[in-house]
Amino acid sequence: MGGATMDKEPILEVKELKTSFRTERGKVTAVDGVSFDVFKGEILGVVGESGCGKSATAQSILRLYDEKQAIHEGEICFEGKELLSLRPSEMDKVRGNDISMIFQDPLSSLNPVFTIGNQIAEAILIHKNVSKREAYARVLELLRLTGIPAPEKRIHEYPHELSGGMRQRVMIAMALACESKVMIADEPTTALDVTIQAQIMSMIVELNQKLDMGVILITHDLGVVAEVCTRVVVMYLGQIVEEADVKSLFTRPLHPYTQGLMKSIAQLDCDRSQPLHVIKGTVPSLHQIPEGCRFAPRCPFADDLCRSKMPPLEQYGTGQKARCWHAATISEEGEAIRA
Amino acid sequence: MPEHLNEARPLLDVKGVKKYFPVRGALGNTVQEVKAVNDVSFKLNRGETFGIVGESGCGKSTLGRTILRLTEPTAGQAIFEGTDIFAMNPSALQTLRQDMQMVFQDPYSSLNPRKRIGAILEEPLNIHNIGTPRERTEKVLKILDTVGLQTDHYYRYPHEFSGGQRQRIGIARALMVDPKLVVCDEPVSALDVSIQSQIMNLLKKLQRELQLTYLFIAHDISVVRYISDRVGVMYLGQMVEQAPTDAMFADPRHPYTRALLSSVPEPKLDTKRERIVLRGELPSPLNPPSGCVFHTRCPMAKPECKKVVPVNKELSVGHFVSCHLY
Amino acid sequence: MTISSENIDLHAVKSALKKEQNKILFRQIMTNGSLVVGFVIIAFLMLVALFGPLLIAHDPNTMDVLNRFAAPSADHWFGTDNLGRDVLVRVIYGARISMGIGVAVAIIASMAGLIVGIYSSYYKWLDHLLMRISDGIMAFPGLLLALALMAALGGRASNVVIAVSIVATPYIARVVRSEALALKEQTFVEATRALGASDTRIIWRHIAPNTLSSLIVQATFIFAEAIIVEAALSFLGAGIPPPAPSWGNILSDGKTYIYKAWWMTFFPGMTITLAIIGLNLFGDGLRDLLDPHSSKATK
Repeated sequence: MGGATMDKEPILEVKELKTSFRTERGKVTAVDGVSFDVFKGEILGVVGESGCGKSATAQSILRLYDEKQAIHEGEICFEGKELLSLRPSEMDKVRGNDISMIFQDPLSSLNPVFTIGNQIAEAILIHKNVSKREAYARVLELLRLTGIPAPEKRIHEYPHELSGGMRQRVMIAMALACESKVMIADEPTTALDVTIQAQIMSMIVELNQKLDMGVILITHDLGVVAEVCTRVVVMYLGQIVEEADVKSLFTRPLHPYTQGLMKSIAQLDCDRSQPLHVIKGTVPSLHQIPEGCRFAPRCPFADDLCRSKMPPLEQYGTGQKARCWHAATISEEGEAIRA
Repeated sequence: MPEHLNEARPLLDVKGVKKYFPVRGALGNTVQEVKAVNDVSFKLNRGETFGIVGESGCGKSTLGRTILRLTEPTAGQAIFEGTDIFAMNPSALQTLRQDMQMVFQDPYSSLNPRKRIGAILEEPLNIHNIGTPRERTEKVLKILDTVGLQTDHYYRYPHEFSGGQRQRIGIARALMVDPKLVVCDEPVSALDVSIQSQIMNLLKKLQRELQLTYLFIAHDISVVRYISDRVGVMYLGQMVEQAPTDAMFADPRHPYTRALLSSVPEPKLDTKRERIVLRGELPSPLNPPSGCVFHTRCPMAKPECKKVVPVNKELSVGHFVSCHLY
Repeated sequence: MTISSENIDLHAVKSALKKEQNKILFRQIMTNGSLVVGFVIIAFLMLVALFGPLLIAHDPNTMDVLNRFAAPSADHWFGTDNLGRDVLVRVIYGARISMGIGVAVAIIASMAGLIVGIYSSYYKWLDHLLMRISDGIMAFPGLLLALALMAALGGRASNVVIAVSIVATPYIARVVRSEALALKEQTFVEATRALGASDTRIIWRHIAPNTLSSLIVQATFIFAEAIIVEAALSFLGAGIPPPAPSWGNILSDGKTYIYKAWWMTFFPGMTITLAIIGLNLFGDGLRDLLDPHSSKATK
């Protein structure tokens, strides 16, 4: 399990973040009023399926979208600064420096015509006023930190000469280059094999503990979440539907979507003769968001209230929140909950 | 369990299949070979599902394609109902294609974007001259219903559907010619988790209703376990272990299988699980290691493993392992 | 459910769906500025080419020697040339010739380019052969090659079409070939092979239709090129023999009298420019329209 000692003060606060895009079919709101905090030293998981807005949230925090196409509302507070109101030049200083990001596909995230040493050094030289020699010394240090063998040799290699797992380590090295306080990892292991995934995830946990760095881990894989995260936020169609610490989430998921997700995963010890649990229907398109609770059309517990009014995100016990009119009664009725 | 077990002959008997891809030098000569599939054998009985699992580069997808002769094999035999697929002439192969079909991984590129669904689904019938136009349309409508889609989807284009729906269409297309064997190449990997379960249930239902035999290729071990009667584990072009599913998961014998199973992140809060971490990197299939291909990363490697290729032994009924530990 | 009621259901569904799809298409077309403007220009010129001569009933070669070098006026909108011929009438008749040649070349080069491109992408030995020939053709500056061909074939409208088509085909072939190469690797092609389809079926029913969007865009640019090349050939005296009023010939007549009668070069020049602008806008708009429509994922 991940997570070092947690401070009471959050280092990153996302408040009612809204991100909309102008498309040829109208305005689409990919992130709709999302709020969460990231504490120092924790690993926060952001879980959801396609269209839920988890990647959009991450990209919005770093303002990676072209702001002629994307409109942001809300606030993102980091170390006393409100990120959405920073000037572009000020935001540049935050990216890669205070808050860094690693992406899903390490091959296309690295420039094929530069050596990896060059690219990691660039991450340093953009932000820190050090000499090239000092930068390269740091690069070697980072490569060792991320477990890349023979770093003196690797520094001169090109991305295509490395395997997928190695490339992801290089990406992580780049993200750590400036000792950021927060690292956003957007599906960092989805493109990797399961055995490599295990290595990378344990490295992220180790780094999180060693460097006391906050990590936002975006993934669709609940298994990864269980292994690595301290707290979890579940998203559906642009909203947060549940927030909890890892233990509570897996012992007592409150929201029907979370429950459904957990039950529909084929686990290594499930009964092979039984059909898998299914969440009926499909995720609606962002152009056709349902009235009332967004999950209602697919929810086994939905009633007229659910279909007409959107439930707010409410607190249930310490640190657990759910966006559901019936969260309290559903859990008590006890559907088979994983222990 | 299906009642085929008393049938003497397997539906598909794969023997010593090899598929090497030549790497050409400047003059067009073969400089090296990528040994994608390197001597794989297994049997598949009618009505059962054989799952093949492994990580990238292990050759499982290539194996599936080679068996269907979508790419020409380098060596070996694939005996389907008594006839060797690899030895058939093109016209016999053409007819055989009605018996073996494939479901592809990528729902976004596996359908022709310019054709309507109805046309895409009728095509297999057109190719093999089955039925009158009216009968073909009837059959398409029936299949659409079987896979959980609606009548009006007949006239829509692929881009109007979600990933899960497109995968249903891909499955429907494979079923149009009433095949006996369906090779599923990572059919759910590109889908969201909540959709995966829908498709898996559909595949199981279809198998029961249409008496299908599946060769199920995937990298997701839990999914393979769920649907397969028997499982084969591949590493660098070879099948290192194969066994009935329950036996495989209860008692994995090959060190790679053990490492693989221990790496799967489980969505539950376990107390510390013994995770076997493999050292080193996956070797290149251009230059596979000598002796046992796994010895460079095996935590239990002995000196013998580097020199001698292990023999495939049957440890218990139907449980085969290639490893010097046994 | 009987078969007939199924079919009745289907037809209603089909027309409803087609209506819906057409509505979306219509909106996409109307919001595409380049496409609309380009189309209007081309349509206008095509109409002039087709119906202009019928409405005017005036022989473009009628000489009015008393009225030579008349500046543009109410009687002669584009003025008259050195032989007293009305320039506007000549330009209108010229539209038929020049636009006609443009269309013919675009069509011929498209068909030839499609066949060459598709088969090159599919069969490696053919690829080597055909691409070397194409490279050879493309190595020559288009106009020079066209000139050489005209010298060999002789000055006639049909020969102009042949010569310019030969020059243009390799460009289309290349575009089609690169699209087809990419398409060949798509899963749906492999899936169709798994179904038992023959090569021919795959080539013509699956790969070729998917190359059409790039092909059409390229063809509009070839259309524009053809007009320019024809004009250049005629200007140099190697195109359609005078007194046929192709735009290039009109320009050619005017070149000696630029200072005396600027309208003899200005108006045909502007018309050619207008045609090229229209075609380029149309091609750009078409490219934008067709691009998002093709195999993009809806994720």
